[in-house]
Amino acid sequence: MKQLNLIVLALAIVAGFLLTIWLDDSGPPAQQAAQQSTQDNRAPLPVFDITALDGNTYKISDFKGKIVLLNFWASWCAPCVVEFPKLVELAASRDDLILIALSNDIDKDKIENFLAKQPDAIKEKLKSSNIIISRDEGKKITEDLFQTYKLPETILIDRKGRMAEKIVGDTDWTGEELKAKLSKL
Amino acid sequence: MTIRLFLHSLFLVLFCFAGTAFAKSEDIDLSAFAQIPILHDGRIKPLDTFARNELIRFSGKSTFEGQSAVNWLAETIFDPVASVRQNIFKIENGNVRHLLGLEERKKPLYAFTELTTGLEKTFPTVEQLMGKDAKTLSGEQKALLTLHENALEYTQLLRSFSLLLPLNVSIPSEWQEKLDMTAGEPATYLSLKKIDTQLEQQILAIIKKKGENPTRYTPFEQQTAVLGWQIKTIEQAAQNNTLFRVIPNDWDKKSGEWIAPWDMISSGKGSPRSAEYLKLWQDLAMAWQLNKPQEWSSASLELSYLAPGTLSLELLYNQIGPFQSALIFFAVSFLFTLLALSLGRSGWLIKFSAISMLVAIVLQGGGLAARIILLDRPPVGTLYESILFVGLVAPLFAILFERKLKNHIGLLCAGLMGTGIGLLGLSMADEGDTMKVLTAVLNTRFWLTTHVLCITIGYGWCLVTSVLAHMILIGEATGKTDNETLKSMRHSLGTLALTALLFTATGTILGGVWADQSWGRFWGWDPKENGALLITLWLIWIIHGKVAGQISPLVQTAGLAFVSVIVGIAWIGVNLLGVGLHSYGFIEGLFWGLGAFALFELMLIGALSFRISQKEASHETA
Repeated sequence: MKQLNLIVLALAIVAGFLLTIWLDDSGPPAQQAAQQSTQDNRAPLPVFDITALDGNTYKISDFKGKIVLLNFWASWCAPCVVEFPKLVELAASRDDLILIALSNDIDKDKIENFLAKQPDAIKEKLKSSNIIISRDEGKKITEDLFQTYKLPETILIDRKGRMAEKIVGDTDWTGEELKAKLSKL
Repeated sequence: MTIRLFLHSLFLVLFCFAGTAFAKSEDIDLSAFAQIPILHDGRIKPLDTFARNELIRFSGKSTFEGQSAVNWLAETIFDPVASVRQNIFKIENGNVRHLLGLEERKKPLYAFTELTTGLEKTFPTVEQLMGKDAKTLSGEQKALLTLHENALEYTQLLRSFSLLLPLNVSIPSEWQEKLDMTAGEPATYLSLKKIDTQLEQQILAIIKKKGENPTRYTPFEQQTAVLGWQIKTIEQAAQNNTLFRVIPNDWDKKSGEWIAPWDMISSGKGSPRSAEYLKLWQDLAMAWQLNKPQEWSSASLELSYLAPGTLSLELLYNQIGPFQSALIFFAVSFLFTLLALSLGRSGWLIKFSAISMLVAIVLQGGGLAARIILLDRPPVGTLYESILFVGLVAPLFAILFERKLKNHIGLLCAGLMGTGIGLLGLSMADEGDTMKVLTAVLNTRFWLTTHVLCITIGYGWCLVTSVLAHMILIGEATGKTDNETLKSMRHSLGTLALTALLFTATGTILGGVWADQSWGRFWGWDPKENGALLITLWLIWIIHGKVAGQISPLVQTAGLAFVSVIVGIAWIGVNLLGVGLHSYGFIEGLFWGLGAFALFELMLIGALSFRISQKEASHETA
């Protein structure tokens, strides 16, 4: 009986020790861990090509080393129309950023008409080499590849070619919050 | 969205899928499908668990006509037209059946198609009931409300994949060309979504030109208008469909959020990876509908890779049903010990009983260990879980005393308690998911491990004490137990009562400390707190009465036998009151069972005590 008591006591001590380890929830500082995991969790970008309105074709991998804003839009989509000039201004102000504005319009003419109606200052900025306007024929990239149905949506792609965040709806592309986000890419 | 809208759109949506009702395959292997993870009720679980819980919710059973729950689930999500004809809605309340105009059946199970008219008819009543306090509702009203809630959940399930199932819609050739479709190729909502802006513009142009009277349209214009209306109806019917969360949110991995297909489309949470997952789900749907076992296995295997390692443990847990199996072994052990004692302690009977007891304890303990791993928390967060835990510790304590008593009474007590508590647990397990995420106040490993474990261990000791006291009373009343054994049992009874007091008193005090941390007061005369105090005071009264010589051994034994009722009141009874801060533990429906148990115990203990006192009186007279 004494032997049994000793075994029970030993088991209780081991169980208590294991319990203490289990109950101890302390780990690395939460913020640091969260930031680390956010970086690690970024998904790689799928491979696809974009044909700009001017006929030039780009591979998405061509832009590695730069921040890429992949913007899904259409000329018939009101919030897209509102945010378009802000996106252009942001892209024109940064050399390290590429704006790919991928339109869901059926006809190329509609896009060209929309661009033609832009103020002269925006039209001038649209000439920047880091702004690519393209039409997504058959919505193959927008819907089939990126499963994007709620225009406008913009994917922030970091310098390593990984998708960092998706912004759904129009946003303030010149605001501080967004600048902070871009600085982390 | 209200159920009325759901019902109105149901038939159109089903009509759109009417051409896709293929026979399901007998060769389809559902093992990988059963393991695909889903986020439901706050935790990731395998589809097997989800399917079982949903089927229990609707029909009260975890299988359907001999088929597994996952088989039923696959049919429901991939072949909704066939599914709505299955009799899965259990309506036990006769008045509700009458209200819905349903025919009487031997088994009150009905198909969704049989319910729709009645559901629509009773919707105004349900709307009124929804505004009322649940406590004021009658049984019939509650049953009606529950049926409507279940119907709503079922329609969500039916439409989980309505965005990728082939549609039975007529698409004019002009639109087929725009969609790059070959003739005869089935269209889906997602494929039609590519032309919805053009379609909308075209319909607006037709209305502008010819008005809203379709008789003035050309056949192409009519087909275009119908197609646009069908797409919109499917879309509207699926609004807020967030039930089937099988796709991880690629954009917010930190939160661990998973999304339902329709929610992914409407909230802009789609990603290249979600597109791949949805494609696999579409492959699954097609493989199910076209009866292609190889394609089915390949797609379900790929989707099952998303499952965390613990899900295979949950599948094993579901398949074994450890607590139901343990109950059988506890009952076998009890019956064999009873038989052995009745026949004069036959050796092999006791050996068989001991082996059964060992298997039962391993199953019960294994089940609890699996729950700890799956839920990543101590095993006693809910009333059901406390029953499972006491169902392990009480027989274990009785076995410990068997080592001391060595007269098989401990084994008998263990079998009796394992069976009784197991049956109680079984009656509570049919409510659906037993692995629920805890409310915030309970979500603390420390207090669940200290206070709750301590108090439930106390319940376990109390029950062992009570059962042993019963044995003593029966032994004395029948005169079939010799004095030496009775003396030994009485001595053990005192030790058991003290141990029970130690755990219940410590648990009650720890509960006060937890309450002080959570609610800012140590003691608030809450029913649950009063219940715990009641056990402690009862034990103190009996123990002190005996020590002070104020109560006779008979009263002490009878009092300790009655601890089972006190524990029943404190453990389960106070939860029936539905008042106090321990709202997370409120239950319904056990009132009459508990009342009958208390009455039975009162009569049994009273009768045994009366018989013993009569025997003692006659002994003294002699």
